[in-house]
Amino acid sequence: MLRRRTVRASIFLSVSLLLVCVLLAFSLAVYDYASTIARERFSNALSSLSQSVLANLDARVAEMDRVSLTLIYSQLFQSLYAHHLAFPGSPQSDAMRITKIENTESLIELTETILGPNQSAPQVNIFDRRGEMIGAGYFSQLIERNVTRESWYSRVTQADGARVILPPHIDPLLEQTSVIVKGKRYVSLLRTFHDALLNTEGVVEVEQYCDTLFSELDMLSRSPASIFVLDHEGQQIYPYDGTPIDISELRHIAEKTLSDPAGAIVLPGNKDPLVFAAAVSRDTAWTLLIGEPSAGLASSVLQYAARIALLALTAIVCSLAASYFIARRVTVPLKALHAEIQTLDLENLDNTTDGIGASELGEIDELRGAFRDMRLKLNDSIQEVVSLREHEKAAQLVALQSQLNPHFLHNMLQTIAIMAEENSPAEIQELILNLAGVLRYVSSTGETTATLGTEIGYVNSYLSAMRARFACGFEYTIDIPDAMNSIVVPRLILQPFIENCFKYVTCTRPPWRIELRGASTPERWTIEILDNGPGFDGSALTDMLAKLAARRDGSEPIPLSISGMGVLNSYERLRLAFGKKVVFEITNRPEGGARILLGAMYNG
Amino acid sequence: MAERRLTFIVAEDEERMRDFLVRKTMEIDRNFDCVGMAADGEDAVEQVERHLPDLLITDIKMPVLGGLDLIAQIRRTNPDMRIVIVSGYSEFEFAQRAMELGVDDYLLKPIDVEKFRQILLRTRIRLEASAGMVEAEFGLDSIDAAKTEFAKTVLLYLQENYQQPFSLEHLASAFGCKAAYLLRLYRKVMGSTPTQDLIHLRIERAKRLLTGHPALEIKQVSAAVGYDDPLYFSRLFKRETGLTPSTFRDSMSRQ
Repeated sequence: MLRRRTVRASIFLSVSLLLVCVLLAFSLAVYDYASTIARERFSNALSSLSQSVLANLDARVAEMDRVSLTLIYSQLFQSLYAHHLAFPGSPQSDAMRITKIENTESLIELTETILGPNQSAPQVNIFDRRGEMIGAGYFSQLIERNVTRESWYSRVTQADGARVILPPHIDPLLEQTSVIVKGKRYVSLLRTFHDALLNTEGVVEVEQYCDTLFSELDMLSRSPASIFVLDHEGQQIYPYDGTPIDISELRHIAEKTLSDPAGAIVLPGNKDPLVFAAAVSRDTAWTLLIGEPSAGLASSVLQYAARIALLALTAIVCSLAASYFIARRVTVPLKALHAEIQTLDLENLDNTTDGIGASELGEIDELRGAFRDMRLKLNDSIQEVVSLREHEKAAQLVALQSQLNPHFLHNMLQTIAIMAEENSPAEIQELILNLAGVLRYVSSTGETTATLGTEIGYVNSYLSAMRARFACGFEYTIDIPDAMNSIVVPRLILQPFIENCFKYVTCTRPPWRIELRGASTPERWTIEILDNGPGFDGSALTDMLAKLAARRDGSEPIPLSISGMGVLNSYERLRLAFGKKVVFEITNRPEGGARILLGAMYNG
Repeated sequence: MAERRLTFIVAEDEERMRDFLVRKTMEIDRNFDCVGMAADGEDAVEQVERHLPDLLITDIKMPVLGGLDLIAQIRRTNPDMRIVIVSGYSEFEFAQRAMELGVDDYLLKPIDVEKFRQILLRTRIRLEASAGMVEAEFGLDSIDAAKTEFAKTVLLYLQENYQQPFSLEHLASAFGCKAAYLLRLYRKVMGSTPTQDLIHLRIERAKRLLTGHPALEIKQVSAAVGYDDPLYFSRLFKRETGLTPSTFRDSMSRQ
C-alpha cells in the first residue's frame, strides 16, 4: 500500500528536485563553457610557445646563414679564394707551397674572424671543385676532399646558391679532432658560391652543434619526446639524437593541427594523449610540433570542474535547506491546524481562542480562519438541531398531555354511564368506538407524523365523542377535499386548535359550532378552523400575533408550556415540519368567533 | 309524619348530565323536588334567586359564569344554601376554593351513585337540622305589619323599576338592608321571591309590547323590559310562556 506523501515532503521533494535540476544544468553549461575556454587557452599557450620556439630556431639558422653569406660576399674572401684557386693542387715549389699555406691561413683567419669571438658556429668548411677543402674552427686546415663525392653535392648544386640545410648528422672529421666535440651532432648549412661570371667556384658549409641550435627545444623537451621538427621534405630534424619517430604520423598530425589548432591527438605508443601545436617556419620551411600531455589540459579543466562542482554542491545544500525551511514554514501551521482538528470534539467546538498565532502565510491564516468560522457555524447548527429536536419532543408531549387529560376521560366515562342508565346501547357503542379511536391514535406514540387523512379521522372521532357529551348543544362540520388526505403533517397538529375552540366556545351559551374547511390550490394547502365562540380577546390576540411575528423573523423559539399555549405550540410544530413554507393565520371572524388558518406552500 | 319537602336546582351545561342529575337526585331521595335547571352560571344565579332552593348541585365549568364564580355570587345572599359540586376536575385549587366558599360536598365524575346517595343523605340531615335557623336569625319568625308593608314597598319598587338592570344586592342597598334579609323577608310575606316577581312583571310587560306594538323588534322589546341580551330574553320568555317571543307574537296576531 502506498503511503500518501505529506504536504511537507512533497513540497520539499519537488522544490529540491527543481533546484537540483536547475543547478545541474547550469553547472554542466558552465563546465562546458569553462572547459572550452581552458582548452582554447591551453592550445593558445601551446601555439604561442611553438611560435616563439620556432622564431628562436629561425634566428639561429639565420645566424648560420649570416656567417655563410658574410663569408662568401666579403671582398677579402673572394680575393683570397681566387688566390687559393690560382695555386695548383700540389705546388711544385716550396715558395709556392708556403704562399699557398699562408693564403690558406688567411682564409681560415678570415673565417674565424667572421665567426667572431662568440663562435657563431663551431665549424666552417670551404670546398673547391678541385678536391680540396679548407676547414676553419675546430678543424682548421686544408685537406684533400672531393666535394663531388659528397652525398649532398647534387642537391647543393641544384640549389645554385640557395642554402641547403642538412639534417643532424655526425661529422667524422670533427670526431677525430677533440674529445670535447666527440659524439656531437651537427646541422649543416650549405650553399654554392660563384665568381664574377657566376661560375660555381665552391661550396661553403656552416656547421652548428645540434645541442646549441636546439638548446631551447632540449630545455622544453622531456621524455617521452614531445617536440618534433621536420623539414619540408619530411626529414627528421629534431630530435637529433636519432630517436626513431613515425614521420608519416607526425606529418598527419601537423596537417591536422595546422588546420584545427585545438584538439587532443593521441600519439601512438603514448598512453597519455598529447595535445599538439604546430608552426611552420617561413625561413627554413621547417615544421615544429610541440605536444603537451593532455593531462595538463585535463587538470586545468578538472580544476574548473571541481570549483564548479563545489559551487553547485554548496548551492544544492543551501537550496535543500531553503526548501526544507519553506516546507516547514508551510507545514508547521498546517500541522497546528491538524492538531486543532484532532482535538476537536463537541465540548470545545466553540472554543477558538487557544492554539497558535498567525503563521505569516496569508492563505494558511485564511484557511484557519475559515476553519474556525466553520467550527462556530457547526456549533451553532448543532445547537440549533438539538434545540429543534427538544422543541419538537416537547411540542409533541404537550399535544399528547392535553389529550390524555383525565378530565376528558372522566367526562366521557360519565357520559357512557348516563347513556347506560338511559338504555341507549347504540349510542354507547358509537361513543366507545370513537373514544377507542381517539385513545388508539393518541397512544401510538412511535410516529411523529401522520397523513392528513388519519389526522382528520381522529378529529372526527374526537368531535363525535364531544357531540355525544354535549348533545344538541354542539354541532360540527368537516369538509376536507379527499386530495388532501395524503399530505403528511405532524401528529396531533389539529388537536390543540380544536381544544382551543372548545375552551372558548363553551364560555358562551350554546349552540356551539366548530367547522373544519380544507382547501388546496396548486400553490398551497390550508385548513380553516372556525368556531362561533367569543373569538380571541383583543390584547391576547395582539400578544399572540407579536409572538408569531417574532418567531417568523427567526428569533427565540416560543417557550412551550402545557397550559394555555396550545396554539403557539402547534404553530411551532408546523414550523419545525414545514420551515418557511408554513402558512398560519389567527383572526377573529367578523360574525364572531375565532378563525385559524394553517397549512403550507407546496413549493418554496 | 309528613316529611318536609326540600328543593334543589341543578346547574350543568351538558344537557344529558343535567337531566341525569335531576333524575338521580329525585330517585335517590324522594323528599327532593327540582325547582329549576340552569345550563350556565348566569342562568343559575337567576334560578337560585328566584326559587331560593335548599340545595344547589353545580358543575364547575359552565358557559358565561363558571361554577365557582356562581357560588361566590349566591353565597352573598344565601349563606345557608347547601351546595354540592359535580365535576371532572379534581385539582386541589378547585377543591380548596370550594371549601373557602362553603361548599358542602365535592362529587367527582364519573359519578359513584352510592357516594351521591350518602351526600344527599348528609345534606338532608343538615337541612333539617338547620331549618328555620336563618329566619330566626333575621327575626323573621313572626311577621308584623311593618314587615308586610316593607315587602309591599319592595314590590312597588320593582313594578316601577322593572326595566332597569336588576340585581338583588342593588335592590337591597336601595332599601338599606342586607340582600339575604330582604330576600327572606319578601318571600316570607309574599310567598315568592323578588326575582320571581320581577321576571313575571317583565314577561307580562313584554307580552303587551309584543302584541300591542308589532313594529317593535324583539331586541327592542328585550331592552324595553330590562334585558340587554335579547337571546337571554328569548330563552327566558320561552321558559316562562312555552313560546319564543316571535311565535308568541304570531300566535296572538292570528287570534
